[in-house]
Amino acid sequence: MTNRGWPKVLGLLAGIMFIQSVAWADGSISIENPWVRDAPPHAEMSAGYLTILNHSGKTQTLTSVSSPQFQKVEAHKTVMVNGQVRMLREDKVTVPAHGSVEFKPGGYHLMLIHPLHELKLGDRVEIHLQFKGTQPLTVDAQIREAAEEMPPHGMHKMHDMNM
Amino acid sequence: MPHVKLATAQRRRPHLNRFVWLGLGLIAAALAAAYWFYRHESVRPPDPPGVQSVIPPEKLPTFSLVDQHGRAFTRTQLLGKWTIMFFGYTHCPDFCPTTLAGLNSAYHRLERQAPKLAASTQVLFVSVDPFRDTPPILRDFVSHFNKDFLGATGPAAQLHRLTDPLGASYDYTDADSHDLFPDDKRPTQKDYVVDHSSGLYIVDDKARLVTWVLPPHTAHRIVSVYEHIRSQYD
Repeated sequence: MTNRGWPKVLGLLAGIMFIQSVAWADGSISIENPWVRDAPPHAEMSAGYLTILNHSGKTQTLTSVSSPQFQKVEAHKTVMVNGQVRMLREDKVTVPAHGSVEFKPGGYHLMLIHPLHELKLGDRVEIHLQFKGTQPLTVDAQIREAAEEMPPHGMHKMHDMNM
Repeated sequence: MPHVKLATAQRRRPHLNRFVWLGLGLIAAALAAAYWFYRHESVRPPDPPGVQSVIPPEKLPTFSLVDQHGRAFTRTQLLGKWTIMFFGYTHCPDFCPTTLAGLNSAYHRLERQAPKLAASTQVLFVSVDPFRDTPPILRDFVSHFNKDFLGATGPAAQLHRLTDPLGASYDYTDADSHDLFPDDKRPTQKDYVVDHSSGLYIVDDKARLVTWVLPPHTAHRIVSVYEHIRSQYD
């Protein structure tokens, strides 16, 4: 998806419109595009995604994540092992100097374990990210559907035309 | 002399006819063979990357699972429609929802651009975690993505009747060490994870495995692969 032009532009527009970017006070780390997947009702698990940008000249290490709305949050990575899909818990995630790490579907994700109350589409999830040697960074991630889940615009119109 | 000539010509004619018929027969046979080859494997267009067709399609055995409404789900439910099958579990927060979202998007695209294909297609999510995924949990999970998607699960012995012939697999593993828990038993750890095959399995309307597809399961890719496969069988 990121390889094509239009979604990028749309993503950028969406970013400008309602997705905040949170920067660490000294400007060394910033978080972009945080969001939480709209999980099925009563789901024990959900997933959060974001991009960590490291603006500093040294490696930054994410050591723990938490949220007041979930019992536990862990950094995980989806990997393929012999044709099987496996979730690996990542005790720490390192972000290279002047680099970034993207948490996205099918890769790194924040595993949000056991919601303490029912959450719905549009709600905001507070996420605390603890990096080594810094104070925790807090982001507000909106619950939304993944891009793939959104019905394409004009779909009903086209459907009517076909009928 | 003219009489003799005429006689020779008359004698030759049936001879000539025989060659003509033999030639026509050979041409017809060659055309039939070419058509047969075209319809069958030899000139079959190559599978796209990450797609593996099973030739000839492999008939699945009988099995006995329950669906998301607690009703019996058996091999009979695979007859009459093509099925896109996917294995996973509801405690899977990333890969399984991403895949089901991709399948939902793909299904909507099919409904628009190939309504006949969509109408003869069902999507089945098989949970390989029957200990935690009861029918009500399965229903919440599957219908979140699409009300028409089917969910099924069942005891290990029955799951294996489906996964084994498909070449699919799953393992219960420790969330921390990734050590395997013994097969088929409820893991002792509360937050165990399940490693499972990542593919989509395409089963025809006679309950035969036709193709399996490796990720990424984006809507665009699912639709193009599925249309490619169906065009070879319909």
